[in-house]
Amino acid sequence: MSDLLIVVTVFLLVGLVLLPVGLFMTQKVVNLHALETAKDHLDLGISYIVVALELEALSEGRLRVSNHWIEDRLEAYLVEKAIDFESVEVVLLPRGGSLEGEVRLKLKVMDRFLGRGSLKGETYEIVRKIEVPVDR
Amino acid sequence: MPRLMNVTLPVTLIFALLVMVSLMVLVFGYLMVLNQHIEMIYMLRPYLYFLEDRGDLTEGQLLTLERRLEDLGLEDIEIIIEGGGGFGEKLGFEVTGQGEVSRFTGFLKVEKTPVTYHYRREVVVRRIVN
Repeated sequence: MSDLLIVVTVFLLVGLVLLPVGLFMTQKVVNLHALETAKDHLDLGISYIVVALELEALSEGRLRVSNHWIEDRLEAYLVEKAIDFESVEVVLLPRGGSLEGEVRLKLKVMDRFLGRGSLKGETYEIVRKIEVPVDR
Repeated sequence: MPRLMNVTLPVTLIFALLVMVSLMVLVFGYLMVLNQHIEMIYMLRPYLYFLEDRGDLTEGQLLTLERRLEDLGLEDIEIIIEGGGGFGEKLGFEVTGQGEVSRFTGFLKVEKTPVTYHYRREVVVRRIVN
């Protein structure tokens, strides 16, 4: 009977600890990978839009676009890059000779990889400060 | 005659343990690939900013980048920068390298299999460079 107890104890200690630890690690690494990829594309998307805004500002002398217009373009850019996100929020306000504000991207990772419910998804918010010079 | 222990439960548990360990080794291989890719992202991110600022990388930066990718364990590294020009131009930045990952190929048999790491981003030049 003591042999059986040893086997059961080893199984419980190694097997039942190893599996949750492995799943937890997988969840964390997959989350991190998705988050870092999203950060890259968000930064590049912001640059893309800031450049477009600067060109527009230069050509027309003043800025005629709304925050919603910027949000739509940023959303389109992220969808094109296959980033799974919940919402994009842009708040830009004129200040002196420039537009200043921030971009908030909310994204929930994991669902796309392993299906809802199998592993817990995590919601992240990436915040980026931006400044668009209007008068050059 | 001595009384023998019923071994059905211990044998079943040991088999279950073996299956779990095998699964974990497979997961571990996948984790290593993802981890390598995350390290690539961290390493390449500053070069995205250099590209945004100047529209190109210098010879020194390319050499440093190649050496750092080799330090990560990648071989046959290929760095391609497509396009070019000034403010508002779009550049394709692509890095490809070969790595290795351990995988189970049979009962307690582990072999190293080649893996291709690929990183591609589109960068817009956002500074006017004279």
